[in-house]
Amino acid sequence: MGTFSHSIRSFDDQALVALLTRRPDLASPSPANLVSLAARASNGASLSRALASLNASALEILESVFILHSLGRGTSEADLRSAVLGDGREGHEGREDSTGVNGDSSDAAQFRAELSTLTSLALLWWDEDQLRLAPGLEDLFETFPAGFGPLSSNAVATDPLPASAPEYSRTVLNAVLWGPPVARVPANLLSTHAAANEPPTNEALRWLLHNAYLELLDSSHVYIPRQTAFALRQGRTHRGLSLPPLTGHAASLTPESIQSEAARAATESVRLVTELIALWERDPAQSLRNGGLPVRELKRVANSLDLTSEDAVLVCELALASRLVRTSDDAAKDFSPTVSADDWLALDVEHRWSQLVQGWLVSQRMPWRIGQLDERASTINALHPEVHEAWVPRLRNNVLSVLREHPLAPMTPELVLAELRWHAPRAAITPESVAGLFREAEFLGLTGAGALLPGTDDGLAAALANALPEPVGEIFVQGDLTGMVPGRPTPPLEALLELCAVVESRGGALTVRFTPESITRAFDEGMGAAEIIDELGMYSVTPLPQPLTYLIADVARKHGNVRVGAMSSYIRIHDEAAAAAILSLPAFASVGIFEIAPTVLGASAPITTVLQLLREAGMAPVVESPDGQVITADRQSEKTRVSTRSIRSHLDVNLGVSTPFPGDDALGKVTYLGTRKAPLGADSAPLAVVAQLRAEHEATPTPSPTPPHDGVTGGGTPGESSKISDSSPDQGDEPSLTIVLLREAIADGSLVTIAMADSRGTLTHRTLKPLRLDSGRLRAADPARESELTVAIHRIASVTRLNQPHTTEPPAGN
Amino acid sequence: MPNGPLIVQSDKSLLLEVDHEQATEARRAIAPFAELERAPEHIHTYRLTPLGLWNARAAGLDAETVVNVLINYSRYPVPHSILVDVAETMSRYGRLQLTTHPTYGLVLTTTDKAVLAEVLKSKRTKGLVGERIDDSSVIVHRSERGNLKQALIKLGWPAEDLAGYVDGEKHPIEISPVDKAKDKPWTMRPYQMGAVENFWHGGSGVVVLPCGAGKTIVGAAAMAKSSTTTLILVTNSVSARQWRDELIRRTTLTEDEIGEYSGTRKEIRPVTIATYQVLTTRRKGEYTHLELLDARDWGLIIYDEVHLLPAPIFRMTADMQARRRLGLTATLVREDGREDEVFSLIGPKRFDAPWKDIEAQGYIAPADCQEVRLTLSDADRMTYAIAEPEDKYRLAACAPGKVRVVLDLVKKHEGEPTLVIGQYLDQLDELAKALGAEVITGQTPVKERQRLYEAFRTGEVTKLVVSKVANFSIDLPEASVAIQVSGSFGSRQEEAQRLGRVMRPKQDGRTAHFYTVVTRDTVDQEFAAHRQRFLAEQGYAYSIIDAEDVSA
Repeated sequence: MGTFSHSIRSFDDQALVALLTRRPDLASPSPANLVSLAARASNGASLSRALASLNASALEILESVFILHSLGRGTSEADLRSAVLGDGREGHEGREDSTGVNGDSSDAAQFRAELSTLTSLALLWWDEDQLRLAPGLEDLFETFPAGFGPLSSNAVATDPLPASAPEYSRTVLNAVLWGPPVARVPANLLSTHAAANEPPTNEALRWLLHNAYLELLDSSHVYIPRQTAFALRQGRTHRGLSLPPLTGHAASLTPESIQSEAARAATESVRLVTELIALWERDPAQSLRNGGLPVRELKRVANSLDLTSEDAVLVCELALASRLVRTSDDAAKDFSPTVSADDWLALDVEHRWSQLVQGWLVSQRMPWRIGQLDERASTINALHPEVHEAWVPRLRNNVLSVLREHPLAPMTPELVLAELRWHAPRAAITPESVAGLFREAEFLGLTGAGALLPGTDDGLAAALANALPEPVGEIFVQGDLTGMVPGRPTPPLEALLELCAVVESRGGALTVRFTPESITRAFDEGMGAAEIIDELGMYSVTPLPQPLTYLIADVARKHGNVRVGAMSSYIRIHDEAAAAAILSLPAFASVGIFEIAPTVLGASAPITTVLQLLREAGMAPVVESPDGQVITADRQSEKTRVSTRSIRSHLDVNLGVSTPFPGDDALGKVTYLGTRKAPLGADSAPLAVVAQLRAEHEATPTPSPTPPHDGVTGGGTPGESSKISDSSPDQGDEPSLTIVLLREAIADGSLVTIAMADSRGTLTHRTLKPLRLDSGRLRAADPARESELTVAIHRIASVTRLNQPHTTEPPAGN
Repeated sequence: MPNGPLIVQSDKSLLLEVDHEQATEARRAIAPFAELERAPEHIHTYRLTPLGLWNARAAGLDAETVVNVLINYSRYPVPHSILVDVAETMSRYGRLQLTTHPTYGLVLTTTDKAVLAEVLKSKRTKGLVGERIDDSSVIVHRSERGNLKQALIKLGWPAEDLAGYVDGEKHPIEISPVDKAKDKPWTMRPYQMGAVENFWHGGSGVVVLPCGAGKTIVGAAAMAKSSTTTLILVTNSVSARQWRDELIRRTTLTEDEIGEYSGTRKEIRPVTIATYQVLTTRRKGEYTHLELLDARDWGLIIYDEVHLLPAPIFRMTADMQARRRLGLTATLVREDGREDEVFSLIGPKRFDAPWKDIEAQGYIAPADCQEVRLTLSDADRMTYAIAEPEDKYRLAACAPGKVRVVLDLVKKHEGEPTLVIGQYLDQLDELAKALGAEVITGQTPVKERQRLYEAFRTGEVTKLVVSKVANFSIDLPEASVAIQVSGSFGSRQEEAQRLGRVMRPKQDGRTAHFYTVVTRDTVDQEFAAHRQRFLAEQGYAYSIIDAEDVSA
């Protein structure tokens, strides 16, 4: 009797190399000698790893050895063969996946091949003519190897079921015979006898237990003992060897049809990613705080690319995987194209596609998870940074290997999954991941009609170039203003059509429609009517139809009829001579002055600069409003009109003194603006605001342009509490300002007048003493009513501070 | 293969290159299963739709033939998904069949038990079927034959109706060998005979022929073939008279054998012509003239202008599935999208001839379409610019300058029978005055209308101004110029009808002219764009000229 280490020691060099290659964990660190190699090879972790690499057939052979051995049966190759494959005498009625006429020989071949794999992996070893399991392997089998239950220590039945057995006995026995060997039974099975309404199987169960075909596992479970099952399976451990599910799957596609489908999908995916880049270049997509793409942004992508949201997810994910887009580094973290997108865009279709595929091949992302719920039950967004797993590339590689092994066969995710599960029964593969990867491959055009694009092993770009149809440089233009390129357009033709037509359908051919809008777009891009007609005519097979040339001429007639330009101010003058005089003054060259029409001049400088120049030039200009009314200007200065005014209205800061910008003393303060109410920050520069805030302390009082309403003006009183005092209650404060005011009031215990809106929007004013402010609610005391109340912040329209703390000083002012 | 005339797009459209040497062959091969969508000068677009494929299946084509046709004529490999889809869709037709069982009567049988189980589980078939006979057949309530077919097509499993028809009351009808009106011998055109043959062979169904291709004759021939009492449903009373005249002229039927059932007359005779309107008249929520449908044991029911068949008639038709039905139309396209109801209640398409083909055979005058663009005066432009949106179309359509243009056009075709068609009565009156022509509107009495048509037909009158009433079923054989001045929002159907007016066979083979006068840069022009698209898609030469160039 040999030992496992003996068998290892008898490996020749070639066999050892094979062993170490296929079980690389045995080789590092290099074992000291063959004995320690043998020890390592029977180590549990190493064995598990080896088992994980086995396919279903090999595992079945191992199981069979294990069962035969446990039953004290011989485990020679012949014994094993008859236990697994049968000895050929009996019929194969139990075979589930019979492969027809050649079934037996392919079974046998598979059996021999797997047996030699198992011995070369040192999972089985030869003890003379008997096969033995590597030590330690016994512990690694599932609970019920090959569907066998535990051995029974009692004498159990091994004879076929006699004809006298009660009805249903056979049904019950068959249910557990091939596993799972354990069945649940009524807990009171043995205590009650033939109760009136008990199921008829109970009697059968009792008979089977009594006659030792079944044994009790516990009070509510029975099992079929291993010996009984082996006998009733007629000495078989398996119904046969599981063969690869795709054996004999027909290669029914032609390379041309795969190429055409793949090429279509490939060009389409490249086009879509290109469009995504263009879209996000114009208008980057916002990102969520967690880094994902908001559903709203995904919809925008889907709408502008005319895709379903599932496809839009794929386009975004492909672009991300190829590093063509990512979140920007600035604070907004928007999604925008990367620098490498520019390089990518410069490539031709084949190479752009090749880069997309390469990015996808190594990507760990799992787009199929998007839209599902994560463990915290929130929806997973596209481009979410955490949607990735390290095993994804490996699984993708396996999926592609299956496809590669079955060229020209139309595959489905289900077939691929079955094949993968046969190859590695012990690996956990989810159907959705296989389906997801399959769909991505199809979307990318790496596969067409479910088969791998031929020639991808020799270079992706070349394979696509082979698959792409010869580009066509001609177009049929028709009277209904459509055009059709009978094939893939040449790049210049495609560019031309992109410029002046709308694509209607893609596929084998490209159909486009010319619309007034599309022609206008071409004009916008600087093409002229003659140019469009010439270029289209060059590609057109037939003369351009009259309606199209008429359309182009019609658009040309209208194009540019309305013109827009930029200017900051205008000058209207009574007579042309004066206008000409102004135009010729050198001082005005610096303000970008130009003639719009006789007696009307435009300038690119703001109104104040122009006003000053005109005054310096000895004119007597007045400022007019859009409706032509003259606005009286005084000498009070103001520059950043809206921001300063609105800040003053809230903070009562005199900008005439504090504005850090030069030249303000020369500017007239335009009073009509002063009466207009503008919200804070509508167009004020942040810098300016800060400057104003800083300047606050040096503020000197000036009469406010807004007469104080009710409440108290704190105009002349310096100090913190008096600064913020003249906001008018009806004006509607900036929310943050409301909160600031309330916080301050809480801090120094002062009274405020609060305008609150009820659910109908009616305002009520109350004088309150704010107490606490949290989670969007204000707790305040009403001194007049001696009560407390809680108000939601969003109901507070405005807060007016009564400027002195209530208890310490009497209110000042009117 | 690499150089076929057909390109199959992934959106299920088929592009046919007309000038390709195999084009005619390919067209003939795909016409049975693909719907012609557009037929401009160079590339015709066909579309694969479930209804089209089922029509083909009903005509006896199998999926393999369809797939082979696509593969044989396609320039590029046909997308795999389309081939799969064709096979899948076509296999759906005929899995369910309506048959007559000697003991159970009307039964729904299947070759696929799962399909029957699926459709019976649906809510749509509740109450339409009776007891299950076995796994693959179920009793159908006789009265629900039509409703069940409708429900099944909605479920995507159209049933093949093999339950046969009642024989109906016999009545001898024959095609007259001489044209009684002209007292000259005449024969049917080959495509008309083909249409009748296909219809009769298929049982019930729809024959699609362009305006002017002689649909009435197809109807008459079908009646002769049936030789039973016949109910003919038409759109209006003018059309009813024309059917009557045509039947008397072309068949052995006499005036006494043909009854008119309309608002004014209620005659029930072996051949009865009724209007849709009278059938759909309701009093106190009840259809008052339903008894007509059972007044006789009709052997054949003819529906004229199927695409206009109102919904209540569909419901009545659902109850008449045991009678043979013939639908006649110029287009299967319905503005309301109820094409599937036509399929299930009247029957599959039995015959279809593309307009251009018939034109090529010389039976329809070729038409030349021109859009005349009129520039508004500055004052009118200002009025238009500030008008309320709802008034804009009327303002644009009734631009005063149009009268001048119409006068120029009429002058250009002086002596040729000319129709001026419009929507707004004021405008029509004004035009009539300027042209010195009579006006026909909805208010014109039928007698007067017929007198004017007759005068127009004989050449006594060469100019007529007509309102929308002219759209349907009038027969003006000699009109060779039509000028449209305004129309209701350019519906596709209206275009087909209006063009039909001028496409009647001409003795001398002159080109027919269709003018449409529109005002530039207004909604009128936008509608004209639809019109242009439709006409160009139908393959008519279309060009745009400026109003100033008309007289030149």
